[in-house]
Amino acid sequence: MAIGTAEIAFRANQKRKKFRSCLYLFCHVASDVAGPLKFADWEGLEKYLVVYVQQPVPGTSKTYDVQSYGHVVTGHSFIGLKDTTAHTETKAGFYPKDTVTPISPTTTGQVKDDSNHSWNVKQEYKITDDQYNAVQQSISTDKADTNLQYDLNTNNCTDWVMDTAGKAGVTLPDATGTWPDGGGQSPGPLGQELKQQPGATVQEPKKDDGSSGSGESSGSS
Amino acid sequence: MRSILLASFLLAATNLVGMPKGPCKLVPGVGCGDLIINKSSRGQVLADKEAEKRYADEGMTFSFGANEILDSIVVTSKQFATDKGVSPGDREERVRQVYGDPKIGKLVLFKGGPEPVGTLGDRVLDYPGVQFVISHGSVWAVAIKAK
Repeated sequence: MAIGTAEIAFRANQKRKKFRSCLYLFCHVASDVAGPLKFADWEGLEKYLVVYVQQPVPGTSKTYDVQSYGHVVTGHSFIGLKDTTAHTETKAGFYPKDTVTPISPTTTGQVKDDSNHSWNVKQEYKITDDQYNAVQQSISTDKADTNLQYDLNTNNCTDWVMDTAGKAGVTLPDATGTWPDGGGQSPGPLGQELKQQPGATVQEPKKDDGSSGSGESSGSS
Repeated sequence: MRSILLASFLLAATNLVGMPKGPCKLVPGVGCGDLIINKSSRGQVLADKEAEKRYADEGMTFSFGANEILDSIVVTSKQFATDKGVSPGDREERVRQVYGDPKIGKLVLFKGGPEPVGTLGDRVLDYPGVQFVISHGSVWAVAIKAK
């Protein structure tokens, strides 16, 4: 069917409008982030807050597990700050400096490097430069603070991860669990909650010894 | 009329879902009341999300194993006692008098790394189906598990 001159003119006009609209949007947004190249993010370079969890029993919300030889494993939560532009990631977690148990739940705390800590669930949150800097500053401040208090029930490793993530505006789900004579945020429930979020990475335990993977391994989504 | 209403209220209160119906007796290797080791499911033990906290507030916590089946009950409150009458707070000597010579162990806490973060109490008195965690010479916790 032949198309009339008016129809051709109409379609051409629509294309011009569409192009102008796209160009306007591109330039408008690009100018806000200091340059079209940065806006385009051709290589997917971003900054991320990463929450890592090692559950006491992978795949369950157990807050602790009594293993052979009387070893009681409580799990651990820690934070990663990933800069894909610089290809770096720093990992840090909160620990008791001295003995802590449900019988004696408080002691001084310390933030330590967790680069080599294993995990079985992780979730990444895309953050802005400002949020990245805020978290980085917060971790540096905590690392230097010798008066941090560790409390198994109210300020443990998972509480610290939640507070630190909050500096980047990331709200983590409630992960309350209980243990003899106490309770609070805990890696077991946190791992279960994060697993339900889209994009979470879960590492299945190795079949030979039941251990979970390390941070360097690739997980299955 | 008032007494009937009061009785109805008390009856309803004691039947709240997920609430312990008074302190049950801890039976080594078996459980506590309706809470049966290797039989009760998480759904049966903790009927709703708040039940876990209510039990914990009363001094009772649970551990679930494969398929979310109850594998241990731990109590730290004096209101609970074993079927032989031993409760948290009792002296270590009383446990030994009632249950005889135990296997002695330790519970060492780890956060996933190789370094322990603490040892729970002084020692654990281990008997078939029941453990007593001793701290400062007294029972801190009683754990019921499978025999």
